[in-house]
Amino acid sequence: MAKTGSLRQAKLKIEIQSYLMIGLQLLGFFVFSLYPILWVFRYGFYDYDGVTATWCGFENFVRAFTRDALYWKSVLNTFIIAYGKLIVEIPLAFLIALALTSGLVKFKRVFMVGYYLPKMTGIAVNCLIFTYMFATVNGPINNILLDIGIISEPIAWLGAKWTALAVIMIRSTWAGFSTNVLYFMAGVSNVSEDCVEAAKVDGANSKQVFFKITLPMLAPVLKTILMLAMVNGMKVYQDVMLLTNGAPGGSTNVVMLYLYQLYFETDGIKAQYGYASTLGIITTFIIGGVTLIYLRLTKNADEVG
Amino acid sequence: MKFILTLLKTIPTMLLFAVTGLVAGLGWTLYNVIANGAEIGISSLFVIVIGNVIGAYVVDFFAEKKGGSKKWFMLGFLFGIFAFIATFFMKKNDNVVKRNVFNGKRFFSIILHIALSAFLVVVFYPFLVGLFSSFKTQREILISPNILPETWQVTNYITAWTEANFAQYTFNTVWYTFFTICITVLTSTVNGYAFARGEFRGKSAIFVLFTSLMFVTLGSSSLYPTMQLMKMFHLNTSLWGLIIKGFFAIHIADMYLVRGFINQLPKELDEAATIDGCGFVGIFFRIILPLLKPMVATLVILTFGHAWNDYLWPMIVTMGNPEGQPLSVGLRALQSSGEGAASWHIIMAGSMISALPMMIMYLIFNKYFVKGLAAGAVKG
Repeated sequence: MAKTGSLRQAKLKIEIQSYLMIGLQLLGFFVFSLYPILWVFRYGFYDYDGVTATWCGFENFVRAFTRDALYWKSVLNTFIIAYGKLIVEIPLAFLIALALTSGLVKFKRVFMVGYYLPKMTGIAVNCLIFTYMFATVNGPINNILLDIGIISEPIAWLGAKWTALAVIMIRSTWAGFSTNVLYFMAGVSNVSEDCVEAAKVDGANSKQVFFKITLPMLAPVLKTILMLAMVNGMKVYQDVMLLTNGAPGGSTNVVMLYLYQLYFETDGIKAQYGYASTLGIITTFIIGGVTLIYLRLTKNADEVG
Repeated sequence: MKFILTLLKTIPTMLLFAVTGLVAGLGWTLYNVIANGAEIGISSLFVIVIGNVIGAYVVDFFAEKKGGSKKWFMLGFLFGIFAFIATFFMKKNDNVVKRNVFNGKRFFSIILHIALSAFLVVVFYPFLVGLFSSFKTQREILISPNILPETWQVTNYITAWTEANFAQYTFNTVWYTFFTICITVLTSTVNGYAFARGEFRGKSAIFVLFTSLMFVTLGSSSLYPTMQLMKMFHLNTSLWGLIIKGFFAIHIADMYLVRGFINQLPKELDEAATIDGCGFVGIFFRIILPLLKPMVATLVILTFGHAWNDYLWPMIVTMGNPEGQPLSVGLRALQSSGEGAASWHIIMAGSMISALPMMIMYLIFNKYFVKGLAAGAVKG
């Protein structure tokens, strides 16, 4: 009896100690993670300028859906940036991953480490270097293009919508492709040698092996990559903030940057906490919706993998 | 010949050629991937690219105006032609002539190395631009088209360090990084241990709660309420506030790494220690933590990377407090300040001051970086 008692006591002690070990973070979860979410969901229904908050029902939502072209423009830009860069990034990462895992490359590590470098130097420095590279007056990129004659006069890269979006995408690809290389490499090395060998014994040629074995086995990896790229792409705004800050005239704004501007009164936009929260809610649902649609569409990929 | 040269001068036509060539080249590569397998497909792409560059230079050699526009438009055109010829060439040595020098792994291996190195140069190019520009004079930045500086001006760094306040910024970044590392490593190892070995009510529920953070975030909308909260606790005026907030942060990815690592350690270790009279906390500090050393190294390096480059939150809390800004924020402030707008040489010097320690750390400890990142990647 005494033994079970002390056992129970020891168990209780462990329990208390465990709670203490995660206590601060548990508190942090409620205070710094859950509370802001609830806050946003509450003030989405208020007209709130920082001092007085008045309940306004769905008025903010009506405004967002009917009168706020800038918001939808920024949503569109977000999609353009998130998906546009994938067109280059995914094949590039795939080819590099295949090359690195082909067993023909000796200094695999050197390449991997080198390709990862842009990720390590931080967004502030990277964006500064890119701003300089794509400068209009005597910018290095303009100089190269002028030199080889593709353009006849300097381009104001960050001064027009599409070129600015291109710069944003280039920077983002430059800094981020290596992650996808890593994902693909993990995927390729997960394709078991036995499968490939077995197929070869059965008389499959390299084309068949690639299409019937390697690619289907990479489907789940591709799915994960696309999924992450989508969800993360929707949340990107720091690089846009640093490169163009939405300029010219909000034409390169992305959704999260637009929200940020509404919250933090940048560029003369008056802070509208209530309305910004509404847009936050809508954006969350857009991201969730896109993700769900995507998951639905790629159900097949899962079954193969 | 004259006809071709006139043709070369009309840019829209050449653009058409370039696009056609590009499409043809990529199409051919795709075909090769399908027909001859991935390795040959990729290496063939690189063959084309290299062949084109050589071809472009040959064309330029015969052109009237040297180094003119034709070179690069020609590149695209040649892309197609070369691809066409190479198809026969590659097909042949893949299937028929097995002992050809150009066949076999050696050739592809060399091609792959060349191509990957070329791409490495592309990846490094922005850093090289930054590095070289940081040694230029202001006049050179504005008018010189050369990538290399005429004379290597080290004074830019001295100016940045003393006049542009980079000494202070660096100091701030260093201590911010140091404390962030300490706190992150402490909390994520302790949390990971609690979730791996602890037994308490609601363990799995809490774990799910914590994990859900990875999926449910509102992006920038949660910044403002969080900021209001920090204001309430007077944490919103310096980097110290962020450091203190760090105690309450859940580093879910790091925690996962630690938890996974501890789960692999044999439970007998704990049991033996318990018999010897070690408590739950004691086991962590005496048994688990020493075994966690490699994991701690990874965490330190990863957190170093994050904290050193951290931009958004430091920017928010040090707004209007230039003395307390870290490098990333200070750099940006310099760029948007009136006098900084024209002094890219100082900004680039500052960028290098900010980036070089990170790069050096990364190159030395890349083993841990890649390990941590790979672990994250595999987990998804």
